Amino acid sequence: MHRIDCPWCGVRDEAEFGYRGDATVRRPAADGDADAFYAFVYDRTNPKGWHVEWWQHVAGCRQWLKVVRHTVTHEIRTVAKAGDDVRAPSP
Amino acid sequence: MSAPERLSPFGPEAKPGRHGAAGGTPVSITERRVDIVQVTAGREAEAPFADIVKDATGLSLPPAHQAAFSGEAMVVWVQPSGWLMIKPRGDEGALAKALAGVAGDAVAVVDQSHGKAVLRLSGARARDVLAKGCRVDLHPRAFLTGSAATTTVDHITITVVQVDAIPTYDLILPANFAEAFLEWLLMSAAEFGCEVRPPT
Ligand SMILES: [Zn+2]
Repeated sequence: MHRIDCPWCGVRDEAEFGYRGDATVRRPAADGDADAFYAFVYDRTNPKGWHVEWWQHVAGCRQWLKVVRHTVTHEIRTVAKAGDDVRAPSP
Repeated sequence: MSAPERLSPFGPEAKPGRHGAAGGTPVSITERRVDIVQVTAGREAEAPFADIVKDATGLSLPPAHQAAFSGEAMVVWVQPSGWLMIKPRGDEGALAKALAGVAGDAVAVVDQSHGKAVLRLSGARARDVLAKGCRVDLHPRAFLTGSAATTTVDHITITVVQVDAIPTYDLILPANFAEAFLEWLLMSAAEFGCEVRPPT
Protein backbone atom coordinates (compact mmCIF):
# COMPACT_ATOMS: atom_id res chain seq x y z
CA MET A 1 0.00 0.00 0.00
CA HIS A 2 1.35 3.40 -0.99
CA ARG A 3 1.02 6.27 1.43
CA ILE A 4 0.53 9.52 -0.45
CA ASP A 5 1.15 12.85 1.29
CA CYS A 6 -1.62 14.99 -0.18
CA PRO A 7 -0.60 18.67 -0.03
CA TRP A 8 -4.16 19.47 1.08
CA CYS A 9 -5.03 16.56 3.40
CA GLY A 10 -1.78 15.08 4.68
CA VAL A 11 -0.69 11.44 4.47
CA ARG A 12 -3.47 9.12 3.27
CA ASP A 13 -3.65 5.57 1.96
CA GLU A 14 -3.41 4.94 -1.77
CA ALA A 15 -6.96 3.50 -1.70
CA GLU A 16 -8.28 7.07 -1.46
CA PHE A 17 -6.54 8.05 -4.72
CA GLY A 18 -7.05 7.36 -8.39
CA TYR A 19 -4.20 7.15 -10.91
CA ARG A 20 -4.77 9.62 -13.72
CA GLY A 21 -1.83 9.06 -16.07
CA ASP A 22 1.44 10.57 -17.26
CA ALA A 23 1.84 14.18 -16.10
CA THR A 24 4.68 14.95 -18.52
CA VAL A 25 2.74 14.86 -21.80
CA ARG A 26 1.81 18.25 -23.22
CA ARG A 27 -1.26 18.94 -25.30
CA PRO A 28 -0.36 20.09 -28.83
CA ALA A 29 -1.52 23.49 -30.06
CA ALA A 30 -5.11 23.52 -31.28
CA ASP A 31 -3.93 23.60 -34.91
CA GLY A 32 -1.56 20.64 -34.38
CA ASP A 33 -1.77 17.84 -36.94
CA ALA A 34 -3.22 14.37 -36.42
CA ASP A 35 0.19 12.83 -35.70
CA ALA A 36 0.78 15.31 -32.87
CA PHE A 37 -2.58 14.46 -31.31
CA TYR A 38 -2.00 10.73 -31.83
CA ALA A 39 1.29 11.06 -29.92
CA PHE A 40 -0.39 13.13 -27.19
CA VAL A 41 -3.04 10.50 -26.62
CA TYR A 42 -1.11 7.25 -27.13
CA ASP A 43 2.70 7.62 -27.12
CA ARG A 44 4.24 7.03 -23.70
CA THR A 45 7.89 6.58 -22.77
CA ASN A 46 7.17 3.98 -20.04
CA PRO A 47 10.33 4.88 -18.11
CA LYS A 48 12.13 2.55 -15.74
CA GLY A 49 12.83 4.90 -12.84
CA TRP A 50 11.36 8.20 -11.75
CA HIS A 51 8.11 9.26 -13.32
CA VAL A 52 5.87 12.29 -12.84
CA GLU A 53 2.24 11.18 -12.66
CA TRP A 54 -1.23 12.58 -12.13
CA TRP A 55 -3.08 11.18 -9.14
CA GLN A 56 -6.44 12.42 -7.92
CA HIS A 57 -7.45 12.39 -4.26
CA VAL A 58 -10.87 11.03 -5.23
CA ALA A 59 -12.08 10.03 -1.76
CA GLY A 60 -10.69 13.15 -0.09
CA CYS A 61 -10.27 16.69 -1.35
CA ARG A 62 -10.81 15.58 -4.99
CA GLN A 63 -7.82 17.62 -6.16
CA TRP A 64 -5.49 16.49 -8.94
CA LEU A 65 -1.90 16.10 -7.75
CA LYS A 66 1.51 15.62 -9.34
CA VAL A 67 3.26 12.61 -7.84
CA VAL A 68 6.90 11.66 -8.48
CA ARG A 69 7.02 7.86 -8.21
CA HIS A 70 9.77 5.34 -8.97
CA THR A 71 8.34 2.75 -11.34
CA VAL A 72 10.61 -0.03 -10.02
CA THR A 73 10.69 0.56 -6.25
CA HIS A 74 7.34 2.41 -6.05
CA GLU A 75 9.02 4.96 -3.78
CA ILE A 76 7.12 8.24 -3.79
CA ARG A 77 9.43 11.24 -3.53
CA THR A 78 7.26 14.29 -4.18
CA VAL A 79 3.56 15.07 -4.05
CA ALA A 80 2.67 18.52 -5.34
CA LYS A 81 -0.32 20.59 -6.34
CA ALA A 82 -1.45 20.34 -9.96
CA GLY A 83 -0.13 23.77 -10.90
CA ASP A 84 3.36 23.23 -9.46
CA ASP A 85 6.33 22.74 -11.77
CA VAL A 86 7.56 19.26 -10.91
CA ARG A 87 10.43 17.45 -12.66
CA ALA A 88 11.54 13.86 -12.32
CA PRO A 89 14.95 13.54 -10.63
CA SER A 90 17.68 11.95 -12.74
CA PRO A 91 17.81 8.16 -12.22
CA MET B 1 -51.98 16.44 -4.96
CA SER B 2 -49.47 16.56 -2.17
CA ALA B 3 -45.90 15.31 -2.59
CA PRO B 4 -45.29 11.70 -1.46
CA GLU B 5 -43.86 11.26 2.00
CA ARG B 6 -40.07 11.37 1.90
CA LEU B 7 -38.41 8.09 2.87
CA SER B 8 -35.28 7.81 4.96
CA PRO B 9 -32.25 6.74 2.89
CA PHE B 10 -31.17 4.63 5.88
CA GLY B 11 -33.95 2.10 5.31
CA PRO B 12 -35.57 -0.24 7.85
CA GLU B 13 -32.37 -0.59 9.95
CA ALA B 14 -32.87 2.99 11.08
CA LYS B 15 -35.87 2.00 13.19
CA PRO B 16 -35.32 3.43 16.68
CA GLY B 17 -34.27 0.89 19.28
CA ARG B 18 -31.45 -0.85 21.03
CA HIS B 19 -28.85 -2.86 19.10
CA GLY B 20 -25.83 -4.95 20.07
CA ALA B 21 -24.61 -5.61 23.60
CA ALA B 22 -26.87 -4.73 26.52
CA GLY B 23 -25.66 -2.54 29.36
CA GLY B 24 -22.27 -0.89 29.20
CA THR B 25 -21.94 2.56 27.73
CA PRO B 26 -23.93 2.51 24.49
CA VAL B 27 -23.32 4.96 21.69
CA SER B 28 -26.23 6.73 20.06
CA ILE B 29 -26.93 6.97 16.34
CA THR B 30 -29.35 9.58 15.03
CA GLU B 31 -30.32 10.43 11.48
CA ARG B 32 -30.11 14.19 11.02
CA ARG B 33 -32.70 15.41 8.55
CA VAL B 34 -31.02 18.40 7.02
CA ASP B 35 -30.61 20.37 3.84
CA ILE B 36 -27.11 20.21 2.36
CA VAL B 37 -25.78 22.53 -0.30
CA GLN B 38 -22.29 22.29 -1.75
CA VAL B 39 -20.70 25.60 -2.72
CA THR B 40 -17.50 25.92 -4.70
CA ALA B 41 -16.06 29.39 -5.12
CA GLY B 42 -13.82 30.57 -7.92
CA ARG B 43 -10.48 31.73 -6.56
CA GLU B 44 -11.32 35.44 -6.89
CA ALA B 45 -14.83 34.90 -5.55
CA GLU B 46 -13.83 33.32 -2.25
CA ALA B 47 -13.37 36.49 -0.18
CA PRO B 48 -16.58 38.25 -1.29
CA PHE B 49 -18.52 34.98 -0.88
CA ALA B 50 -17.19 34.61 2.68
CA ASP B 51 -18.64 38.06 3.48
CA ILE B 52 -21.99 37.11 1.94
CA VAL B 53 -22.17 33.91 4.01
CA LYS B 54 -21.25 35.82 7.15
CA ASP B 55 -24.01 38.37 6.54
CA ALA B 56 -26.60 35.73 5.66
CA THR B 57 -25.89 33.09 8.30
CA GLY B 58 -23.52 34.61 10.84
CA LEU B 59 -21.10 31.81 9.97
CA SER B 60 -17.51 32.27 8.87
CA LEU B 61 -16.32 29.97 6.10
CA PRO B 62 -13.99 27.64 7.99
CA PRO B 63 -10.40 27.09 6.86
CA ALA B 64 -9.18 23.75 5.49
CA HIS B 65 -10.09 20.65 7.57
CA GLN B 66 -12.43 22.63 9.81
CA ALA B 67 -16.15 23.03 10.36
CA ALA B 68 -17.98 26.06 11.77
CA PHE B 69 -21.16 25.75 13.84
CA SER B 70 -23.98 28.13 14.69
CA GLY B 71 -26.87 26.51 16.52
CA GLU B 72 -28.10 23.69 14.26
CA ALA B 73 -26.36 25.14 11.19
CA MET B 74 -22.94 23.96 10.09
CA VAL B 75 -20.45 24.80 7.35
CA VAL B 76 -17.85 22.15 6.54
CA TRP B 77 -14.68 22.55 4.44
CA VAL B 78 -14.52 19.68 1.96
CA GLN B 79 -11.96 20.82 -0.62
CA PRO B 80 -10.01 23.96 -1.58
CA SER B 81 -12.61 26.72 -2.02
CA GLY B 82 -15.39 24.16 -1.43
CA TRP B 83 -17.78 23.81 1.51
CA LEU B 84 -20.96 22.01 2.53
CA MET B 85 -23.63 24.27 4.05
CA ILE B 86 -25.93 22.26 6.32
CA LYS B 87 -29.16 23.39 8.02
CA PRO B 88 -32.19 21.64 9.52
CA ARG B 89 -34.56 20.60 6.74
CA GLY B 90 -36.70 23.44 5.45
CA ASP B 91 -38.75 23.99 2.31
CA GLU B 92 -37.58 21.89 -0.64
CA GLY B 93 -34.70 23.68 -2.40
CA ALA B 94 -35.01 26.83 -0.31
CA LEU B 95 -31.46 26.83 1.08
CA ALA B 96 -29.86 26.31 -2.35
CA LYS B 97 -32.09 28.98 -3.84
CA ALA B 98 -31.21 31.45 -1.10
CA LEU B 99 -27.49 30.80 -1.52
CA ALA B 100 -27.61 30.92 -5.32
CA GLY B 101 -29.47 34.20 -5.05
CA VAL B 102 -26.63 35.92 -3.22
CA ALA B 103 -23.56 33.91 -4.25
CA GLY B 104 -22.77 35.52 -7.59
CA ASP B 105 -21.77 33.89 -10.88
CA ALA B 106 -18.34 32.71 -9.77
CA VAL B 107 -19.72 30.43 -7.05
CA ALA B 108 -21.21 27.04 -7.98
CA VAL B 109 -24.20 26.15 -5.77
CA VAL B 110 -25.36 22.52 -5.90
CA ASP B 111 -28.24 21.18 -3.80
CA GLN B 112 -27.14 17.88 -2.24
CA SER B 113 -30.11 17.51 0.14
CA HIS B 114 -31.21 14.31 -1.62
CA GLY B 115 -27.70 13.24 -2.61
CA LYS B 116 -26.19 13.13 0.84
CA ALA B 117 -27.35 11.95 4.25
CA VAL B 118 -26.10 12.68 7.75
CA LEU B 119 -25.77 10.40 10.78
CA ARG B 120 -24.86 11.67 14.23
CA LEU B 121 -22.77 9.23 16.26
CA SER B 122 -22.28 10.11 19.91
CA GLY B 123 -21.01 8.55 23.10
CA ALA B 124 -17.92 7.82 25.14
CA ARG B 125 -17.02 4.95 22.78
CA ALA B 126 -17.96 6.73 19.53
CA ARG B 127 -14.30 7.22 18.64
CA ASP B 128 -13.64 3.48 18.99
CA VAL B 129 -16.68 2.66 16.85
CA LEU B 130 -15.52 4.91 14.04
CA ALA B 131 -11.82 4.12 14.33
CA LYS B 132 -12.37 0.49 13.31
CA GLY B 133 -12.96 1.62 9.75
CA CYS B 134 -11.50 5.11 9.56
CA ARG B 135 -7.95 5.66 8.28
CA VAL B 136 -7.81 9.23 9.58
CA ASP B 137 -6.30 9.55 13.06
CA LEU B 138 -9.19 10.44 15.40
CA HIS B 139 -7.05 10.74 18.54
CA PRO B 140 -7.70 14.06 20.30
CA ARG B 141 -4.11 15.14 19.62
CA ALA B 142 -4.93 15.02 15.89
CA PHE B 143 -8.71 15.45 15.57
CA LEU B 144 -10.70 17.81 17.80
CA THR B 145 -14.08 19.49 18.03
CA GLY B 146 -14.38 21.42 14.78
CA SER B 147 -12.09 19.07 12.84
CA ALA B 148 -13.38 17.77 9.50
CA ALA B 149 -11.94 15.16 7.13
CA THR B 150 -13.17 13.39 4.03
CA THR B 151 -11.98 9.78 3.80
CA THR B 152 -13.29 6.27 3.20
CA VAL B 153 -14.95 3.97 5.73
CA ASP B 154 -16.14 0.54 4.57
CA HIS B 155 -15.25 1.62 0.99
CA ILE B 156 -17.70 4.51 1.27
CA THR B 157 -16.50 8.10 0.98
CA ILE B 158 -17.65 10.01 4.04
CA THR B 159 -16.93 13.34 5.62
CA VAL B 160 -16.31 13.11 9.37
CA VAL B 161 -16.96 16.19 11.49
CA GLN B 162 -16.30 16.23 15.22
CA VAL B 163 -19.11 18.19 16.85
CA ASP B 164 -18.13 18.06 20.54
CA ALA B 165 -15.75 16.40 22.99
CA ILE B 166 -18.06 13.56 24.15
CA PRO B 167 -17.14 12.79 21.31
CA THR B 168 -19.98 13.38 18.87
CA TYR B 169 -19.41 13.04 15.12
CA ASP B 170 -21.57 14.04 12.19
CA LEU B 171 -20.96 11.63 9.33
CA ILE B 172 -21.91 13.00 5.93
CA LEU B 173 -22.29 10.26 3.35
CA PRO B 174 -23.76 9.54 -0.07
CA ALA B 175 -27.50 8.82 0.39
CA ASN B 176 -27.37 5.78 -1.90
CA PHE B 177 -24.85 4.15 0.47
CA ALA B 178 -26.64 5.24 3.63
CA GLU B 179 -28.19 1.86 4.40
CA ALA B 180 -24.93 -0.03 3.76
CA PHE B 181 -23.02 2.40 5.93
CA LEU B 182 -25.51 2.15 8.78
CA GLU B 183 -25.16 -1.64 8.68
CA TRP B 184 -21.40 -1.26 9.06
CA LEU B 185 -21.84 1.24 11.88
CA LEU B 186 -24.24 -1.02 13.80
CA MET B 187 -21.80 -3.92 13.47
CA SER B 188 -18.92 -1.77 14.62
CA ALA B 189 -20.95 -0.50 17.58
CA ALA B 190 -22.33 -3.92 18.58
CA GLU B 191 -19.69 -4.65 21.22
CA PHE B 192 -20.50 -1.41 23.07
CA GLY B 193 -24.25 -1.45 22.52
CA CYS B 194 -26.01 1.12 20.46
CA GLU B 195 -29.21 3.14 20.67
CA VAL B 196 -30.75 4.20 17.37
CA ARG B 197 -32.74 7.34 18.12
CA PRO B 198 -35.62 8.88 16.16
CA PRO B 199 -34.48 11.22 13.40
CA THR B 200 -34.03 14.89 14.25
ZN1 LIG C 1 -6.38 15.58 -0.52
